This record gives sequence, structure tokens and C-alpha cells, in this order.
Amino acid sequence: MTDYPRIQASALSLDSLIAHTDDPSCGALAVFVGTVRNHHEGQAVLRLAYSAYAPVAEPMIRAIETEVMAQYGVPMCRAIHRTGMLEIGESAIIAVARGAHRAETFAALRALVEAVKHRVPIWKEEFLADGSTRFVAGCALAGPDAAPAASRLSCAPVPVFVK
Amino acid sequence: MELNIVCCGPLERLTGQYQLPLQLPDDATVADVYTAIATQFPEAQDLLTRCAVAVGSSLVGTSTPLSPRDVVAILPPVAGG
Repeated sequence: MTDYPRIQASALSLDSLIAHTDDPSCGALAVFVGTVRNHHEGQAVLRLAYSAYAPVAEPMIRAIETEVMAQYGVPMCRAIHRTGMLEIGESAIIAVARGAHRAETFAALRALVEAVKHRVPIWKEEFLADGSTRFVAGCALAGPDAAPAASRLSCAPVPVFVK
Repeated sequence: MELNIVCCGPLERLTGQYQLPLQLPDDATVADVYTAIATQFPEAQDLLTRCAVAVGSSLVGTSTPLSPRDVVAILPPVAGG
């Protein structure tokens, strides 16, 4: 199977990902496509700019795929994520899972998407209709310290970052 | 030693630079990077408390010692998908 990057600057192709993951032993194919919507938290959104730190994001997505396949007993999971400026309706993430049966395949797909959203260094900046921009508040990555964040600096942590 | 720290996502916006040069002690750890950035950019202090750090492709702790050839990236809270 031809390998491909999990972080891509060009438009994502669902057809290509389905073709690349074809497996005749699987009777179930589950697909998730995350697209850019035109609103968030009551504000009209014009577009999103995605960025990623590829040196960590690439191996991390691959590690998540391997974890999910093992945990749910499915032979195939793949996720790809776009970076750059995306207009309303464009695909930001495509994830597929293939398994023998639907139960484990649905579960694996959900786990894959949730893990990519919460564990991979990707950020999105919203361009709002009022002309302002803001980064979407996200999930703090757990480093190996597992120490209280406030111990690093003299200030207390703030849970939301909005520009 | 001088290190160019990769500032990702909202941190790049706050510092104005994707690669931020910092002058650090030869025995600097990751904690010193946080302190140096917070000193130079006080408005980044709150965000820094919720950031992780990668050296190369691995997430590391604040006590991790650094060397001049390390590629260090500060990773704010993530929001993919």
C-alpha cells in the first residue's frame, strides 16, 4: 500500500483514502468527514485557517491509528488532516475505519476522530464576519510531567484563549 | 546557547514569530524556555501555562535539559478536526 502524509496542505480526497484502504477481508467501511461550518459559538464564520506541527503530528496520527486498530480489533484505520486556509464546506479531516463488522468499525472510527481532535498538534483560527479572528480554544496536550501547569510559571492557568 | 524555539498556533500570533531566537544558559531546561518567553512576552504567560513542549518529535517534561542542536516547539492547546 502506498504511504502518504497524514497532514496535507492540498485538498483531501475521500475517494483516494477509500481506495488506499481497500481490504477484501472487511465487510464494514465507516467514514467521517469534518467540514468547515459557517458558525461557532453564536458568531458567523467566514473561513478557517488550520496549522499543524508536522514533526509531532505525523507520527502521532500514525500512532493513534495503530492504537485504535489494536484496541477495537479492526485491521484498518486512517486519518488525514488538511492545513491552510479552508472555505466553508471544505473538508478539514477525513477518517476511515474498516473492519469485519459494523459494531467495532463504528466504534473505532469514533475513537480515531476523537483522538486526532484531542491529541494531535493542530490549531484552527476562525475568521469571523465582523472582521476579527480568534483561535479556537483547545485541549491541552498532556506532557510526561503530569505536573500542575501553574507550577511552571508564577501565574494561574486560563482555560480559554481568545484573541 | 542560542535556540530557535518554534512557536505554534496562537503562540506564534502572540510572539509575532514562528521561530523565536532565545539566548539560554548552557545548562538550560525546558522550564527556562517558558520563563524566557514569558519574560519577553508577558501577554503569553497565561497561554504558556497550558502548553506542551516537544523536542524533535517527542513531548518532554519541563525538567528536560536542552542542547544547542535540539529542535524545540511550544505546542498550545490543540483544536484539530
